[in-house]
Amino acid sequence: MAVLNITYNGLSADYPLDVDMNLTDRDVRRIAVEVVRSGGLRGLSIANLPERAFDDYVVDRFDARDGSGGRRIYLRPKVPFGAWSS
Amino acid sequence: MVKLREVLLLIGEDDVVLWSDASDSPVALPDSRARWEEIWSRRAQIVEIAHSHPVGPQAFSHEDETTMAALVTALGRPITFSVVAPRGMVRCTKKLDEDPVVILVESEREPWWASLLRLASAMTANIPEKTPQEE
Repeated sequence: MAVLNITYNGLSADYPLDVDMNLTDRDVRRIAVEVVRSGGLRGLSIANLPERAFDDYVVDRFDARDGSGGRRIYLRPKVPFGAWSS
Repeated sequence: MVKLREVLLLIGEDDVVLWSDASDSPVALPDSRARWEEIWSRRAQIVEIAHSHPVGPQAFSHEDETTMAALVTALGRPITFSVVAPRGMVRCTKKLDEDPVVILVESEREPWWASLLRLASAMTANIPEKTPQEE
């Protein structure tokens, strides 16, 4: 069991993922687009969300801090700056 | 000897510096979850996000532009961004689904923290375009 957290348009919300497998970053972005389009996140429903809405986002994965043994997957905006790409 | 490095400032109302971080590189501030968490936790106070280009250019890079787009998408509101370089400063306000207009900030109109950013980045402030011998 994993929880996907999506931050978009000033909102941050969790979505429980039934799958317990190694999702690629691309998979996570595609799932997030469909979840937001379908209204699966409370307060965050955008039917015409662009397919590439999360292209400039990164996927952070780590173990939940509550001792549940679950995984947290954060889809958040990338935040590097600089004269050159890092 | 102080090493050139890129530095980032989160700026609030009345040009208050809310938070800062730095890299150990003069040409990059790598992605950081901690930076994102600081931005998110201060999202109601942030007016501007500024960073330095200690070795130039006095312009937004492609990396900057894509990061600005991602941040505005996530925060859901316009944010002003700026780059402080040795010889000057540029600024733009990025809105959702709109290309920003980049303006050159005249040196006498630079905010006080531009000097701080140059100092923290080990830049030589406002290097003249030409020395008297070159003119």
